[in-house]
Amino acid sequence: MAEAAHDSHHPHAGGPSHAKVLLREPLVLNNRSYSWVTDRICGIVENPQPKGWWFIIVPCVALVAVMAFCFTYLVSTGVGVWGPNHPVAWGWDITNFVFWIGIGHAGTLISAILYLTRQKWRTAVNRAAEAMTIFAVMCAGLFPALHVGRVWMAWFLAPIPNSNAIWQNFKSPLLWDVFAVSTYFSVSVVFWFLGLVPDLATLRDRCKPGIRKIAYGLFALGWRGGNRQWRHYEIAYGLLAALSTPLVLSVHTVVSFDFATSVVPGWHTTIFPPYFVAGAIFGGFAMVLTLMIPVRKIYGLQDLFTMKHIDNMAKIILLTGTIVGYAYLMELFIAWYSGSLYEFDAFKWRILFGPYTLYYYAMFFCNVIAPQVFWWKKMRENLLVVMIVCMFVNAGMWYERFVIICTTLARDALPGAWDMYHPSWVEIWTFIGTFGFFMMLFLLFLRFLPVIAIAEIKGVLPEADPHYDPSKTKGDNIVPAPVYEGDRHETPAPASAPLPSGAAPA
Amino acid sequence: MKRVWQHPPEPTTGKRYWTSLGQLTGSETSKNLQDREFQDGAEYMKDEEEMETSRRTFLKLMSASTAMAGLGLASCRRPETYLKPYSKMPEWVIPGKILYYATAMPRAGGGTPMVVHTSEGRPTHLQGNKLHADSNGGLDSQAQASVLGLYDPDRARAYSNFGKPSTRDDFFKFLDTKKKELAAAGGKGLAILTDEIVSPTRLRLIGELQKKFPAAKVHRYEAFGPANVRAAYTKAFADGVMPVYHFDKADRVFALDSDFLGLDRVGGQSVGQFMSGRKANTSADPMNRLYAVESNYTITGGMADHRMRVHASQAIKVAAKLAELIGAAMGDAALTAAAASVKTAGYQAGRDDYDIWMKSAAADLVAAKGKSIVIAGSQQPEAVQLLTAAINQALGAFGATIELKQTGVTAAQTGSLADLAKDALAGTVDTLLIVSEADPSFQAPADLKWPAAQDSIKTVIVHSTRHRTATARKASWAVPATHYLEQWGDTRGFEGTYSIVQPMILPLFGGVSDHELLNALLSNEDTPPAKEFSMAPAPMGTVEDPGPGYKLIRDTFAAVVAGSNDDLWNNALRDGFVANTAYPAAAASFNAAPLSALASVPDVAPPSIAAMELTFLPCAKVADGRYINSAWLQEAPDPVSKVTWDNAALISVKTAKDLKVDLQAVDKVNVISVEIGGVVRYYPVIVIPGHADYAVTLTVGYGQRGTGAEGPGRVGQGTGFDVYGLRTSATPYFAAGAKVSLLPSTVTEGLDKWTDHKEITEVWPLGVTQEHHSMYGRALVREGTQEDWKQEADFVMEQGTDGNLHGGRKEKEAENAFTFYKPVGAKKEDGTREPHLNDDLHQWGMVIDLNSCTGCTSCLVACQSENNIPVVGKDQVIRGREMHWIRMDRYFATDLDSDAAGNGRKVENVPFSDDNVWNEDEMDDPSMLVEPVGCQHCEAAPCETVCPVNATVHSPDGLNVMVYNRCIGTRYCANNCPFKARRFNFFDYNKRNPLVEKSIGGLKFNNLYAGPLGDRGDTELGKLQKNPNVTVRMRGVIEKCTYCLQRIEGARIDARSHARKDKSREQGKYDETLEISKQDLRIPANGVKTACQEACPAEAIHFGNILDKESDVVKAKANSRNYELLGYLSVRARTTYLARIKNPNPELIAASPREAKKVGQGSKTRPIALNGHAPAHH
Repeated sequence: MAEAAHDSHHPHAGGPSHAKVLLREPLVLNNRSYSWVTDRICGIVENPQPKGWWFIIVPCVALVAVMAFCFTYLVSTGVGVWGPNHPVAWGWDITNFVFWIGIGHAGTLISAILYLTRQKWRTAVNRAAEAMTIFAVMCAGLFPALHVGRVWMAWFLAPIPNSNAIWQNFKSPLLWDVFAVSTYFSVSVVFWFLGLVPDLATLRDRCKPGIRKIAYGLFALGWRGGNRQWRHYEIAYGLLAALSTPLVLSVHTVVSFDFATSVVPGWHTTIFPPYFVAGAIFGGFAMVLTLMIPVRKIYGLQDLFTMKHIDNMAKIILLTGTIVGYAYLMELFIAWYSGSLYEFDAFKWRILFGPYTLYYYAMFFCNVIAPQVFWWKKMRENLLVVMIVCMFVNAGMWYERFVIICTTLARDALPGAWDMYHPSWVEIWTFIGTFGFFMMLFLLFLRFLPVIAIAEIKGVLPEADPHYDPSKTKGDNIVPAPVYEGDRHETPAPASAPLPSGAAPA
Repeated sequence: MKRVWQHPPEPTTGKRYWTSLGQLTGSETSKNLQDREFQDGAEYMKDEEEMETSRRTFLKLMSASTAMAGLGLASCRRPETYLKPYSKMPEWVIPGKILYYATAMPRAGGGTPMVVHTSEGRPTHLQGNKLHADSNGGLDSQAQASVLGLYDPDRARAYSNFGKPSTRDDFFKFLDTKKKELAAAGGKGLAILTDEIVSPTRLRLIGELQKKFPAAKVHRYEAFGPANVRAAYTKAFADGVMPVYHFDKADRVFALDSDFLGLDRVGGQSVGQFMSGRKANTSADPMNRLYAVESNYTITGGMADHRMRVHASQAIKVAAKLAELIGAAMGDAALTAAAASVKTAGYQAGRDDYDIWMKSAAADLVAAKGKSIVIAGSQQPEAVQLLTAAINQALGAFGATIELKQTGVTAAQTGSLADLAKDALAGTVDTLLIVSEADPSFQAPADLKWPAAQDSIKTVIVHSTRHRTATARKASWAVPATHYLEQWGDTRGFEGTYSIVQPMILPLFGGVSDHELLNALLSNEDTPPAKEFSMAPAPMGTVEDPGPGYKLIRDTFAAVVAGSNDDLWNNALRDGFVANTAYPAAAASFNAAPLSALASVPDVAPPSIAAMELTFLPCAKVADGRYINSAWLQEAPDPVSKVTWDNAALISVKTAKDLKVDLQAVDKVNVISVEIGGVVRYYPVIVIPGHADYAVTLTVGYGQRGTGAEGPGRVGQGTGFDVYGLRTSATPYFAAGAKVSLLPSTVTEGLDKWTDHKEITEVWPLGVTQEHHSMYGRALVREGTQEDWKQEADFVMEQGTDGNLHGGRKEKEAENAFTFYKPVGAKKEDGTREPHLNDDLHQWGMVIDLNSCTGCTSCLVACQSENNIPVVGKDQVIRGREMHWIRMDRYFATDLDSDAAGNGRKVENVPFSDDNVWNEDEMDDPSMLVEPVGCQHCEAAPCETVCPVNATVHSPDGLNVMVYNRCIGTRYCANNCPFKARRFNFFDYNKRNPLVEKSIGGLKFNNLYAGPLGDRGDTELGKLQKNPNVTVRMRGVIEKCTYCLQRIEGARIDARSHARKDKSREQGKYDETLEISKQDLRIPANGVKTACQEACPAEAIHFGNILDKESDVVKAKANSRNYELLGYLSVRARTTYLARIKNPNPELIAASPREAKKVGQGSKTRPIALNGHAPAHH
């Protein structure tokens, strides 16, 4: 039995019965019941938060204050408080924008594309990933909105009819960006909220009367879990998934157009859209893992967010990281093969003797070399390794954007105009501040909303099967937890799983 | 409402009017009623009952809502400013319409004739006076920036007596007493110190003063002046004789340590004249040839066809060698003898081909005798001046290419500063009147002990427009002088043409002109007290009473101009000068006798690492220090070193390596310590390839002490380092035997003696606008030799990326302009054009002739003046945020692939290296190329497609225009501009003074960074200079070159409004019904000049309508040297460039592989490899 679960991909490693050999690895371990799932997930919201939560959120709020100060200083004083100059008119601002937008990719990919392709393992991940997406896009949106020279005129970007009768320039990729990002954000929010409705109803039903009940009730939109409601819900969810799917590809494609449609050597390349999308998925998954590995540990969600999930996501990171690596090499090849001196120089300086070469190597190591350890199963199973690689990827994706933007601008066509770019303290603290903002929002999400989609995950339990026979779940048919999980917690009796932080079950 | 109206008392006599019986009888009720301003019920609206709100309620509501709106929205509103209309319109003044007046700027050696743009009575911009014989309409950057000096808030504004504020009347009361005392003593003890300004009125007044005070002495001092030349020509010809060069008549020019195209002003239009000999329209056109021998890399050296590095102290040996060769060739025994008497034994200038070089150059000069000029720099000693005069005499240059003029300014008339100091220390000077912009306390050679000398003079009167200089601070009286734009005056050009200086504005701060002051001293009457004007602080002149200055000039005018009358005077005012008033030709012939003195010139050994040579030069920015407070000049990068806001020690690559200077340093450079004669100074160091080895070039003028107006002014304070302290009267221009070393650690000791800096660290921040000196093989500045051009007419299209394309020019240009889309601006089938280029009358374009451009940065300052471009300060320059709309790229160049070199030395082009390796030969002696880059006005502009808000768009006449109001500042356009011509206003540079340090809570901030807590608001003075036709941009928007859109629009309006008149004139009578066709509305060919074009003394910039076949720009674009910068991008730039043509001496390049390599004849790619630094690795 244990052997079978140990490696379900190898049929010959199996146990006594043929049927068991073909069993898929369960998505929820330890044969958890509906009520356990509900109790466990709602418990996070209903019980006091562990100390760790407070230890993190307090500095995060402080960082938000720092960020707010930095932005206020920026707007009140001028873009000069940042580091950009004449050849390098974009610095950390757009680097951070692309970085955060990239992170915001995994969420919708998981929730929409994996939904449409019936990848059931997504259920444990999608809620948190979508939340992360929304928060990352919020962080991203701050930069383009506030990096402009005259923030108070930024409404010119919106197609509002005005007395000047001037419309936006629909040829500008920056305008496409505005539409792409805002569409992505609004659709992501709606999609996320729609998925939350049944769970909000669950929370509402478990609440004592009071403000919480009213609030959850308000957002639960009168959900009763009736058959018709579920039917409509499923249709709406499917439609929104279909609507979101192209957005996953479009947003970063459009962001890449900011560079690809320009005439700047080093930016002007057709490889950017697929390379950016792959990079975004890559970075997004790394961020999901970075957040969820601690969350599952702290809140005891190992049975729901299993090693299988981590394994799957590590494989996606390996795949997309390798695609990104291919793109890096192909860029160099094309720069040489094009015969264009300007293009070749741009890449020559990126990799050798240029002003920011170290950033390139950091990028290459983090994004291409580091994820290669995921070829080994042992490494995918070692949560410390997974965390370290994800951290590398997070950093590497930032380096990638910096390399693309700053190294290119610092040396373009006319050497007479070249200059170096150095970030100012305001820029650095603004960026750090957005991490605080992001983490604060995520922690609040953990505090107030179910981190895992309760209704959905119930759908992947054996009980959800119409042919499920409760009498057969006894004896040999109980599927125990796989033993390969290194950090597996104590497996208590299903009915009396203690909640973390010692709270009594509801 | 309750205000009681005070009725006037009723008259007691005469008729009485009454309105009612009550009033007539004087009843109380009636009286009460009458005393109220409004009668009862007036506060209620009519039919109040029928209205919902009474008038009172309405007003209450209105005021409440206004107050609330104010509370809520006041902070969101733009600050409001008001336009104040004239209540009585002055004649000729039309807001937005520029009025032009001719005047001249008095300067050492010769005044600069100019036309002043005035707007509503304010001078805003200057241009050269093309009508004047000594001007081609161009203007150098220092003259261009002098308009800002008028509005300098730190300039002398008030009279002061020993530092205490005084008044005009007090001063003149003192002067009236003083002059009586002096007159009684026959002028004994009186000394007058003036500068080298050539003003006939001043000369006349000084002459009269010398008559009135026979014992008085007049001294003349200019830190960098023509004194050596005058002394030599006095000996070789006669007193008062000066050479006037005609570079336009010269086929061969040999510049011996002479920056005659740059800072060594030897003529009003040397640049224009020289460039007229290089206007290469076809490869068959003859071109002049320039040999330059110099220590520092100057823009003259950059223009040279052959350049040799020679130390300033060794120039005499080069002159002797040249004299020897020419003497032999011409059979001139006197010259040969003179050459032989100079000690030149073993001198090789550090190069193996020295003899070949000199022989070829001499042969070339001889072959072109009568059409050649040998010119030595004004700073070269008398011996060199004599020798070059002898060479020119042998070559028959005098009378042909060099005119000898009797200036009447004789050496005999005046003494020097040294004489004055000697007299003062001897106690024979009692009263000193300094009428000069010079600052002897700061500038005088150290050995003169000027401060002690000045202290020993009882009364020192300093008359200057400048801030309170070191001299003025210690003076008995400081008298504010008028700026030349606010006074009557006169001057002569270098060749003598008489120009009138007329005031453009009443003196802003009062002040008297030099003429008025000298006249007050001369006059036997007491000076009348100041008249009070209601508007101006002190009177200068009005139409009714033009003031005393006017009369003085009229008197001189009457003496200078034969048959002077009002008409001639008015014509002179209109034109700015009087024709045919040039100096008479000198009658004297060459006297070879003084050449015998050459034998006694001691031999100076070439410098070594242990005993280096120092060269002192005037600064391209602040001259001798007088422009220290000009923010435009401070921020205009030095043409060669590209340093702003500072002076730096310039050294060669080899010297830098030997001194272990960090060649990679960019924003923070090493500091060297320089010691000579026991005086130590520290300077940040800039490495200049092509500089002479073991020589240090130091530009003077910087490092003036004091703060604000009690010092060099708020702009100049704390900038640069003092150089004058190293100069002595024996070594005013170069000095041998300096000990130079890298500063190992921070210095704090002994600084208080010469600088205001508390400490000097071993690395020093420098605002350098260009950090890379190589084109990285990109053929950005294209060049070829005349031979290359003859071989291949379209040689420019064989260089760089264009060289990779197939076919001839036509095919290549078509391929460059290729687009998948419908060509922009192409005519459609129905004959119309794309909307954004649909103007059939005007399509604007520009051509910049790199064969003429010296890189002097005059265009840059002109653009700043015309287009209200703010300065950003040193800190922002270091951050790379300078705002100049046109920048001057400067590249050093060595040829890589010239087979002609054949010297077996291969320049290693290491693949993947940032730069080519530092090959000694390439680094040590490269050529220099310059390229002004502004907005190229691409037809398919990359900036336009990327702007999300349509803030940068194309106009129908082909301009890439910037809509400041619409711009939100995404800066995407700046990123996508391949030319990096777009400038972003990172702070409110126009509103927030970047030079102020703001202290907030004990923390010191640059004012820009203090944000809303910083100082805002331009000074009223600063605003006065602004061109009213150009928007003053706020922060957060992109700005860039507009091709001077305001001038184009002005011309377009003129063309429209004059069309009927012009056509009528052709017909001979005015006809209301005349048909005006569209063609009649076209601006005449060359009818618009951009500010940069107008300012360019080399006439390198052509601008005009490319649809008008008559226009210069069309002709220039037809030149086969025409190419588009980065043409491969298919942006179809409207600004194109004409390649640089070199005219090397064929014999020299055949004989010297080294020279052949440098010239690079036959080179196709000209990948030019040289870089001041490799990038810092992060």
